[in-house]
Amino acid sequence: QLCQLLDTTGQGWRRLAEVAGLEKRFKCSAEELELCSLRVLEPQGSPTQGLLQLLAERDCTLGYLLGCLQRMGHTQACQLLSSAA
Amino acid sequence: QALERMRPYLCDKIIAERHFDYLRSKKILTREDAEEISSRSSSRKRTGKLLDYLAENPKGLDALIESIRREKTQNFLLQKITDVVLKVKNEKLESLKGLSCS
Repeated sequence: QLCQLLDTTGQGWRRLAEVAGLEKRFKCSAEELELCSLRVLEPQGSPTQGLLQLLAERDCTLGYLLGCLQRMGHTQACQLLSSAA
Repeated sequence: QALERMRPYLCDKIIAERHFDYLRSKKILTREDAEEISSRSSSRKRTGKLLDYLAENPKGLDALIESIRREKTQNFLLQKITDVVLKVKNEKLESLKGLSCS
C-alpha cells in the first residue's frame, strides 16, 4: 500500500531515497537507484518496493522511515505507515 | 506509449547507430531495418525511424533501455525514461479505477 502511494505521488520514492540517504548507511548509490527505477518495467514492479527492500537490508527501522516521511511532509504516507505499525 | 511521449526528447539524445548491434543481437531489428534507418538523412530522422521500429515491438523499450545501460554513457536517460514509464503506468491505473467506479 505504501509502495502504491509513493509510486503514484509526485513526491515519491526518489525523494524518499534522497531523504533517507542523509544518513550515511542508508545512502543508495546511483546504480542501486537505477535498479529500483528499472523495476517499473516489470508488470507488478514498484520502484518504492525496491527502495524499501534496500533500506530493510540495512536494518532501517520503521521509526526512521516514518521520520523520513515526516520530513518530506508526506502526511498521507505517515498516516498509512503509523496505522500499520 | 511512453516511447511516443518521449519521442522529441529521445530524438535529440539518442544516436540510433550506437544501438544497432545490441538490438540486432536481440532480434529487435533486422538487417533490413538497420539499413532502412541508416538511409535517413539526419541523426534526428534516424532516431525517429528507430523509435518507430521499437514501438512496434512489445520488447522494444526494454531492449533500448538495456542497450543504454550497456553503453553506460547516457545513464541519465534511464532515470528520465523510467520516470515517464512510471507516470504512464500510474495514469493507466487511474483510468482503470475510474472505469470500475463508474
